[in-house]
Amino acid sequence: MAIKNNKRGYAFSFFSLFLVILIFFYAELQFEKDTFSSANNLEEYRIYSMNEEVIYFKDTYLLDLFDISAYKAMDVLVNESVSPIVYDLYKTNYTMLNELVKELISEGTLDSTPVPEMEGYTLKNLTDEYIEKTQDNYFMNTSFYVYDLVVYEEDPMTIDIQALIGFNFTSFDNVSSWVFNETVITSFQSYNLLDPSFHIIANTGSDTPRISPVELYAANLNWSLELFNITLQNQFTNIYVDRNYRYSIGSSYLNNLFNITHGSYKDVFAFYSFDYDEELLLPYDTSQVGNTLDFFGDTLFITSLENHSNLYDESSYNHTIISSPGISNASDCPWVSCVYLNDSQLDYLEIQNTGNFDSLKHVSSSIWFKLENKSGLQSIMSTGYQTATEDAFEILLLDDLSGIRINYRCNVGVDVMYDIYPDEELTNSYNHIYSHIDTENGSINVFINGVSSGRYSFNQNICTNVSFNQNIIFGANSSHSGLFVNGNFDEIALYSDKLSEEQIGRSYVNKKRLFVDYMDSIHGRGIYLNNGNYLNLTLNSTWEDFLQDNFTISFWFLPELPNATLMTYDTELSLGYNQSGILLSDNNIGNTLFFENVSVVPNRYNHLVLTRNGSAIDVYLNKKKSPNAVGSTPSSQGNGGEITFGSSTYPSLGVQSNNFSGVFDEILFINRTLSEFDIQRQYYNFESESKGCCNYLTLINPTIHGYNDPSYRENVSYSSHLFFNNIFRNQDINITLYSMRNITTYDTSEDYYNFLVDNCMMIAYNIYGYASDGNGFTRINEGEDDLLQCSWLIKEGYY
Amino acid sequence: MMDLIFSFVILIVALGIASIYYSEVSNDDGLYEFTQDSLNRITTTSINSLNSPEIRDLFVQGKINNIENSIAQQVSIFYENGDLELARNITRIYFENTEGNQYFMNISLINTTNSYSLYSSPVIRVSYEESKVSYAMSREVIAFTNRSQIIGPYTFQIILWQ
Repeated sequence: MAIKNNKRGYAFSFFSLFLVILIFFYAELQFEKDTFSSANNLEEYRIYSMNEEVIYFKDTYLLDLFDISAYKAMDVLVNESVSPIVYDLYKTNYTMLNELVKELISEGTLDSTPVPEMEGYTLKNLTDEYIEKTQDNYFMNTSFYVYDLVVYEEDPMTIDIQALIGFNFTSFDNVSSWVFNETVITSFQSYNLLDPSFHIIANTGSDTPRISPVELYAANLNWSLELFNITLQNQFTNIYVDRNYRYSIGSSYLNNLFNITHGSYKDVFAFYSFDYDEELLLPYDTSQVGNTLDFFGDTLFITSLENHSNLYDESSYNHTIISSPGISNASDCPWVSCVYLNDSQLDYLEIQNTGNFDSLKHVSSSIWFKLENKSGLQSIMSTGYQTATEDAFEILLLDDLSGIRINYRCNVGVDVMYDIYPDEELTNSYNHIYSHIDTENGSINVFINGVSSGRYSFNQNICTNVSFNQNIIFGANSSHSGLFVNGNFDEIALYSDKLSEEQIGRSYVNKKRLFVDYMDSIHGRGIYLNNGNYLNLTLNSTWEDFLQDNFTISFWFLPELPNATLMTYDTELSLGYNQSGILLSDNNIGNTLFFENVSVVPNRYNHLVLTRNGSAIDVYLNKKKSPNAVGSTPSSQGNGGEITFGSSTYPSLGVQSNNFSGVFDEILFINRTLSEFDIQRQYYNFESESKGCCNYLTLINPTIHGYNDPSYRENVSYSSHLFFNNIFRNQDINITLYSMRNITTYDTSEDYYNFLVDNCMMIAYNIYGYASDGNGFTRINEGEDDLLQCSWLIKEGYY
Repeated sequence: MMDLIFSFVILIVALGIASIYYSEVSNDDGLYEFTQDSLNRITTTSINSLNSPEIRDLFVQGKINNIENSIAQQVSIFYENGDLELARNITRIYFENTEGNQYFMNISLINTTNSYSLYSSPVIRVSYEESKVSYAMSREVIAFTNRSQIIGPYTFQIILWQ
């Protein structure tokens, strides 16, 4: 059979083979490409994995080890401090304490001497294995170094340690590296640590008790006689009471370590923390003087309208509120109580204008109202729209609650009227209106019931600021002749600034008047000063001789400007700062002194302390003492006078022309000269909730713990009366508020009773006792009544 | 006609072989990210956030004392105490619902001398040795029962393959 040469078949076959080769060639190309990109991916993956490991090391692994190492270092330090040589290194030098703890953590040595107990507990020891493994796993070198370290306390039973750690991670091939500094903080409770008051001070040696792991918040515990007895039986050294108990004479772990036998509030004459101001209205003194600061800020007028017969302005501006005779209290109010205005009686409310509504860049108002649905206009607020010839503003309710009308006039001739019909209709229940005149942007902004409801423009080149010269009327027009309302008003406030949307929302949700001058600070809340706002303290008779004797004034501040006045005392003394340092002007010196070794850190919290000791005045900034103390006293004024914070123009001896802009916090007036060590402690404990004080109730069996030594007996209070006295003497009696010195058996119901009385009184003075006007608190009066009240509470089973 | 069919068959076979070859070597379907994520989670997620009834029971029984420990730290504590079953269980609780069908997983705790398997995928259709793509990652974990007893560091190793 002859083979037929099929040319077409050859062609097909060759073509097929060619296509097959093409397919494989294409696949190979793709594979090569993927191999190449896979290699790239693997490199990317490797760097990503290294980065994840860096994050894990600094955020998790090292942080855990830092906690362990720091805890061990504190215990070792207390143990080693039995030696006076060691204890002398830091007992009056807080900065040295920080250095020694850092040395223990980093090197395992104490003043360059190796401490065997730290073997295996230094950060280096603890991380050795990790670093070795990461070298193997990630081909990466790891190193770190502890820089600044600070020991402080947030509450009496906690030790906080903050450190700046520098990290350096570098891959073997030097392609990737991570170099950065990061602040780490560990916070551990003092459970199971050696109690320094026993180990170092009482030198109890191997019998030293460790701080019990069963420390109890006594105030929060349901005490029973049985529990009381168990507590004693188990020798629990410390029973902490209330971490916010700031006024006791108790001691904290660090106070025990430094053998400080008085609270940090010893001799504190006045203290303004600003933490509870909004609840208690205006900056109030949380110490015993009870002097309220006047605060001239952005809250120009504020009232809760709680009693129509006793209306008052809660701001420091003290505007008089006039009301028409028929006005009465309402029963249905958004917040506590409010007033009812009756149109048939031609009722109205009127704020007497004392002049602080002049030349304002911003004016805003917040008002709650519940008005009847009726035809015709009703006046919610009027600032002289009918009677003034210059600036005026008016908020009216339109027919049948259909909307809001805004009338604004400035500089005669510019007159705008806007009607607002909100998406959510006004109801015949309570409504909230917020208005804001903004002359910087030429706009009026209105929020109705928490929602932005309108923004209207005017010519800001003509209306450059707002001045209201007439009284401000609520519930009628400005001539008291019409536009009367029938309904309730509550929680009225006027501001010289705009409110943020968050503040407007908060005011709406809480249905409450709002001070706008506070902001979060490193110490809870501080007070914000801007645009010439200032704090003013009139020294009443309780301040007699305060500034003529030894004293300390300290405060924290966050400056926004490069220079400004901080504090003045009449024309006697003025304190300010500029970029070169702190400035002090004293009329006895006759010129202004510069403290140049210190500089204010802008936009960060700074701690400033002014002390007088005899004739010497020292300034400390951020714990650094100025080397050039000056001899002077602000004494020629005699008693009385005014201290002002934040104003350069009030009174006249300003060292800087700028008013202060920024935050003030923790203003302390102390009736003695704080030592450099005291000031270091105050500075390092800036985070402390106990503000460097530290307070707890200690239950001690002194026979066992060495407190039967006569030198300690002096420092122990034995009865409720003594506890009471200690509180008010605020003197040297110190660490133990309650002692079981005389207990011989565990079945001592009388002691138990006394314990309950003490505990009750501690709570009474802590939580209930220090409100300046008792507003919002159950006030327990000073004196014997407290004891009687606590006795009664216990007897009745309430406590 | 036969030639046409023959050529067509060759083409189809070539395409099939190329596509199988290509797909086998080029796709890991996010396996790397999953491995890294698994390692991060087991070493940083706290016991508390597991919100599991079994974990709560262990806490009530006093087997778990610090719910802020990471899963890996708690596993280390169980391992150190000889509670191997608990160590395995707590790992299982965390991982049993997180695997995709296409992945297979093995988690081990390695101390200086031993490797202890904490978790393996319940069904393994492809053995590790036969896998086309695999990733292995490890990380050191240190734990504490109290501040004076340090446990570890142990190495946690996660191997994923498909």
